Amino acid sequence: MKLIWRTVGRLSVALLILMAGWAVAFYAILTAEINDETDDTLEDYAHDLITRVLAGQTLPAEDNGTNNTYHLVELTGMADAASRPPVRYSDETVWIASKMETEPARVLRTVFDDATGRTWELTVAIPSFEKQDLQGRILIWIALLYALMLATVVGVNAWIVRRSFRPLYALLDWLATVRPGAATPPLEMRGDVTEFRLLGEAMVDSVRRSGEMFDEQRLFTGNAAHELQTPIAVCRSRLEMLAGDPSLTERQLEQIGAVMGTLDRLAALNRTLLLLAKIDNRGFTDGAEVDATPILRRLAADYSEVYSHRSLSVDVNVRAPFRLTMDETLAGVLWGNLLKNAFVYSLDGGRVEVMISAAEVSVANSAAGGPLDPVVIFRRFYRGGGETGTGLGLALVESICRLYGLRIDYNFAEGRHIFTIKPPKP
Amino acid sequence: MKRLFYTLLALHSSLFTLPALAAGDGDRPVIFEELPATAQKLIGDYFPDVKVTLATVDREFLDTTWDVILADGTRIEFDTRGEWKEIECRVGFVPEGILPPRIASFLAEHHPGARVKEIDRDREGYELNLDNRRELTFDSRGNFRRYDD
Repeated sequence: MKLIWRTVGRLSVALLILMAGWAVAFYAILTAEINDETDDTLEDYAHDLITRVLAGQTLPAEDNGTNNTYHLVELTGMADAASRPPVRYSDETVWIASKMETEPARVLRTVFDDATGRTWELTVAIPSFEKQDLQGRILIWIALLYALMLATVVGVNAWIVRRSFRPLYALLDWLATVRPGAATPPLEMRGDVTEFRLLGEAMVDSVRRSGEMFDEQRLFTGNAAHELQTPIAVCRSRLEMLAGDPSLTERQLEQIGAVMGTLDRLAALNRTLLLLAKIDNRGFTDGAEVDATPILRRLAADYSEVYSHRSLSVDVNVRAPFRLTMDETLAGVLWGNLLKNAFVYSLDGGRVEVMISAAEVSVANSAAGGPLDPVVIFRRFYRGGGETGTGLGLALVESICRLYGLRIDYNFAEGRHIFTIKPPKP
Repeated sequence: MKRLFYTLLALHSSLFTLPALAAGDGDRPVIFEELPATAQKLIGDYFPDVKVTLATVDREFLDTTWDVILADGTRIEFDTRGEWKEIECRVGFVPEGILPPRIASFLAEHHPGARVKEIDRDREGYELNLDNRRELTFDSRGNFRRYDD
């Protein structure tokens, strides 16, 4: 889940709850205020009438054309006069003569004594339909405004979060372009948020350091392989001189021969390492269009001769020429290692099949065992059982593929290891 | 973080007690002795022989109003502290001692013989109704502003 949606989602839920509470409270307060105002109006009306009664002035008609009504009764002498509360509010249904109908109304009853000691009860009433209308409208408006406000706040939040995290996304995009061994592109993070700036600086620093380490290691491998060349050659020539000594016995000569064989393997290993280092250092830059078919045909013939004792059957099927723009030497190394790998690890009496089409080249060989782990087979010095190879063949193939952007896949099907090479995506 | 959330929630739930505060408990009858001392003194000083017919209190959020009706039909409204806000006389007249001195002298000069039936006071100033049906407005320091009729 993206950070922005997580943030906006949480904000929305929190706001939904908090603002709903706010809206309910606001509605309750408004309603209470309206009720209170109604009561205040009733009170004013009652007090006005009472002061008129006390002053001995004439009262307006009981039904005076407005919706407000009043009713004055003398309680003097009545048994319950003293027990009635002096001020009493209630909600009742009253008859409004001017409208010829009953309406729900707020009613105030006030009991008072005049100067002569007579007790009166004044009843005043205001219809509450206006109040209910008002409250209904307010409810609708609050609901509408609540929805609008929620939508606005969530929208604004989404916008702010998206804007605020822009440097983070810039950093992520930049990280995706960083490749070890390649030049580090400059990081462009706009904005002056301290945290993002520090994060960006830390990332750039870290990428730079790991790049330096990568380069250093690559250089070291190359140098080491280069420096080893001379001692190996010296060893080899001294052994040859030693072998020329006529006083040596047959057994000693055999021993020297075995050491020279090992030295040859060491030299081959060293050459391969040098080649790997050169490939990784972009030592091969020039390229020409190279057709895979003649190379593969020649290699297949060579290897079937070398491994003739294992009675392998070899097939090279060409449907269409497969052409790549690359260094010619590297093309030889690529196809050679792939094919040699197939010969070396094939089952005795098995079959090596090369399929060439315009879209891909696949090399298949009968497997002695089960499928290989595709994660480790391209690692340097990985050897699947046999001790004959350097363990660098597939690593070389992979390095060359990486250099030219070729795609290499490993599959295991019908008891065969199949390596497929496809041209870079256009 | 959780704590902050719960604090906000608690703060919000307190909102629900607000309507009760806003509504107050409506009008409630009170006896004379329950009125603020200033209000009792004003009634005792200026209306010594008149019986109190009805006294009510309207307590609202941050605002309390006392309403007193005297047996002669005079109505007096007091604010929270017991200062008068409105005096309305049906039969008699507003006692002259209640009027601010500057207003009293303005009346003596411009409306000799006229009596005050009703006086209102708020933050803006004073509004007076005279028995000659004139309506006058003064600012809060007692300076004459205008006739309203």
